[in-house]
Amino acid sequence: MERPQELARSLFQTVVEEASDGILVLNSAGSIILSNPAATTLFELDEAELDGQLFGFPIADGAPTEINILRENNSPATAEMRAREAWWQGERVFVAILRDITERARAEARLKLAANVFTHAREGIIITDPDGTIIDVNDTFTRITGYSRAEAVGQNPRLLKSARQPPEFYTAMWRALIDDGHWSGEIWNRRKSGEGYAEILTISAVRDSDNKTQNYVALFTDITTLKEHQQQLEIVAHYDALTNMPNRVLLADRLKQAVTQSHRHNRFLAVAYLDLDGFKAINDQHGHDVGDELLISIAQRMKHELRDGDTLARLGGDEFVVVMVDLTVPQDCEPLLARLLQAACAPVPVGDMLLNVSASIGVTLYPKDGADADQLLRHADQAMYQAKLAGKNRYHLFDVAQDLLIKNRRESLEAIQGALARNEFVLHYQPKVNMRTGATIGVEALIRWNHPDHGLLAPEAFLPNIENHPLSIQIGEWVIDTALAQIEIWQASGIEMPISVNVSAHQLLQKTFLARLAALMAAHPGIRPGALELEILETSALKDMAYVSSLMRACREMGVSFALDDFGTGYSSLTYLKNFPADLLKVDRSFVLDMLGDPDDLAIVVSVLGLANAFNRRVIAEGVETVAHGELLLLLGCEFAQGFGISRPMPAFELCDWMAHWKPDPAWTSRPMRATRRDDLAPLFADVQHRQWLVDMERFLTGEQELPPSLNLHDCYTDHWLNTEGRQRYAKHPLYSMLMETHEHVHRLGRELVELRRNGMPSEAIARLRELHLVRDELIASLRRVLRSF
Amino acid sequence: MELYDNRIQLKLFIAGSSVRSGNAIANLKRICDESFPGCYQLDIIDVLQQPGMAEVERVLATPTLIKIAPPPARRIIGDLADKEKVLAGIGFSIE
Repeated sequence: MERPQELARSLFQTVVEEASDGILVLNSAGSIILSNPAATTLFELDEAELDGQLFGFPIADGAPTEINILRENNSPATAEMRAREAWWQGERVFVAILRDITERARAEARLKLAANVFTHAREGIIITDPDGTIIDVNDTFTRITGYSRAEAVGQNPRLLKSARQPPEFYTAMWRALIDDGHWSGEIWNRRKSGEGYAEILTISAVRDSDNKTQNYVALFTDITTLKEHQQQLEIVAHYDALTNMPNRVLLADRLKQAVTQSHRHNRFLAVAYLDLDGFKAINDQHGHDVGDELLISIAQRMKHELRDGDTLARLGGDEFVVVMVDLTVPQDCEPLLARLLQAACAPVPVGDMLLNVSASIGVTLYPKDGADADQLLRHADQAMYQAKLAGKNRYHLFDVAQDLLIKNRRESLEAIQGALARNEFVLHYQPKVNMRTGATIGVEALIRWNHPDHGLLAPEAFLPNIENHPLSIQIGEWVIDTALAQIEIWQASGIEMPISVNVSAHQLLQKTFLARLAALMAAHPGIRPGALELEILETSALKDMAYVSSLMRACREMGVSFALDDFGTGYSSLTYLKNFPADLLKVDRSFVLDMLGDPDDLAIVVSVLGLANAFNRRVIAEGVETVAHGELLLLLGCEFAQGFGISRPMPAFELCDWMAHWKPDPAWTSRPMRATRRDDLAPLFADVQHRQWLVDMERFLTGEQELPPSLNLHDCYTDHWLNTEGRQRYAKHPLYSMLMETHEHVHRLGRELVELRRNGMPSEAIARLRELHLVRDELIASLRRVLRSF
Repeated sequence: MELYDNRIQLKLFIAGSSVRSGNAIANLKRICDESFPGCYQLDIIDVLQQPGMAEVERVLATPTLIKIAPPPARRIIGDLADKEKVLAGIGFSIE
């Protein structure tokens, strides 16, 4: 059984071993003679390793002292050391008690750091409680806001609030703080002095382990200087340094906005491009300083004339742009423009001088001019140029229609140029025939555009766009070249088929025409003379007759022959006929088409045929669309013809097949080969006249035209003929009296029908039209019989 | 040579440039300058910079001051503020 003293020692040993503090017993040299488990843990050494180690005399009696424990793995540990002298086994020893305060030391270090950061941060810091009451601020806060810590603590940060942000701004800020726990952004606040300042602000909610907000911490940096600098940069970037008016950059922005607004509010918008007249002279004469002063004065005056919302911008030099918004009608800009002109031309005092300039203004109106902002400016600039040309000190409105025309023309020029390069043009050939024999005497080459999107286009669809343009010469030469190549192909397969090609007066009058034609001919050397014929269009444009006739003669020497196209149109056909060595006349299709119904057109056709005969030229009629056209032409002694009634133009490869199968109408071939005598033409005219008369009558009766044809028998050509020439020549003809009677019948019937219509019985009149037709047919048949029998 | 031999040679081990290290150095210099003016040599070793030196001397904690000369070598650990205790600790007593 142990003695109480031994028990006490054992208990004491247990206490030492279980103690959480490290305990070392050191001898007088400072070497460790005893250590407890907590000490071995602290040094990270076992008891045996510690035993005998030189620790040193601990100097820490009374107040504890902090020491750093060195460990092999270099992880730092801090201990609070207390020491006592003691006696053990008769020896003077030291007991060192080491309390591990590593964690506490770290936390203290962190707190100290945090406190340092808080105090010395260059950012202003505010700490509030969850209700937003300020509980601390740092020195920088005071420096920025002007409020001392004592003034700020206990207050709400509203203290700093400026009126620069709307209430919604703060609502959104609090929403972000509550939802996300943080907010950051730029904000304008107010210093104690009342002066506003801009800051970048970050607010974070500090939450506890239950996620409940304990504090809010706000960090902010004063960015007022930065903002001011930014504003200055913005001014430099957007305003003209001389006049302080918006510059080109800001103008572009404003104009875009104005276009959007105009569109949205359905209002007009005017863009005026303004250039000072005579400004350069002032600059040259008085120097740039004077010029600059003048610009400033005029800019201010013009600005004064404008309404709020309008923009006056200076583009540079003496060029300004005015954007006038919110116009109810386009005319609303006119008084403004007048005032601008007035402002620009009023004398400007500079020093002891009075300077005078004026302005030329070009204006375009959106959305009449539906362009984008850039184009509006360009259009206004173009119009300004027009104002200058028209005499300055005025404004000129941009002409949208004119611009569209020019644009379309340019686009179609480009398209045609492209088509030529891509080989999209083709030639179709329309046969020219002898109606009586059925022989094909040649073909006319007609250009077509094989358009990738729009199919086969006739020349009317694209040639007018390049009229008198150099491109038309290129196209013309392409046609000649292609026709020559076709002739070669046909010649190679034994077909002699002359091709005629249309040549415009513009092309013919090119100085290089002869040389170019010679070059094209030289490129196709095998072609026999007469195979190529040039049809000259618009002969009335050929003023220099001597030049053209010598040109034509030179061409003929190369084996190229000529036709005068559209003969009969224009005024000077006779002179041309006399001067130009053309082999062939083409009677214009308009006369031929209408000669069946219009005695005047018939008269022209007869005259042209007579002229051709007199000048000993061959003649061909265009526009033969029906058998009747051909019949009449043959009757008039014209055998050569072309037209849809014979054949439409066709691709070259179809031509042989067409020639093999085409037969002229029997009405043509049955006609004996005999030119009609001049005298026999009268009944023809009578025929034509009554056709037209009946057409007009029908139109009157059906209400298509207001007045009936003449009902007076004496206005009638046939009546006149029957009573004069007809009576002389045919009085003894058995059919003559019947002809007289039928003719009178026609007119009597006509009068009756007109009466019916006028008496309000149009349907009865129309019902009897058939009767009138029958009598008219009888008249024409009688006329033909009389004509044929001679 | 003789002079050198008579000098008091001290080594102070500290850990890092903390305020505590700074205090230890300042205290020790004050004590030495007062007690052994002009005849002591003090080497200061930062164990974070020169861990090898601490190992050689088997230093277990800082601040540790070792008196190397004159023999016998003595070492003390802890607060160096109290001149009397420091001097006593390294084997000098004040007359």
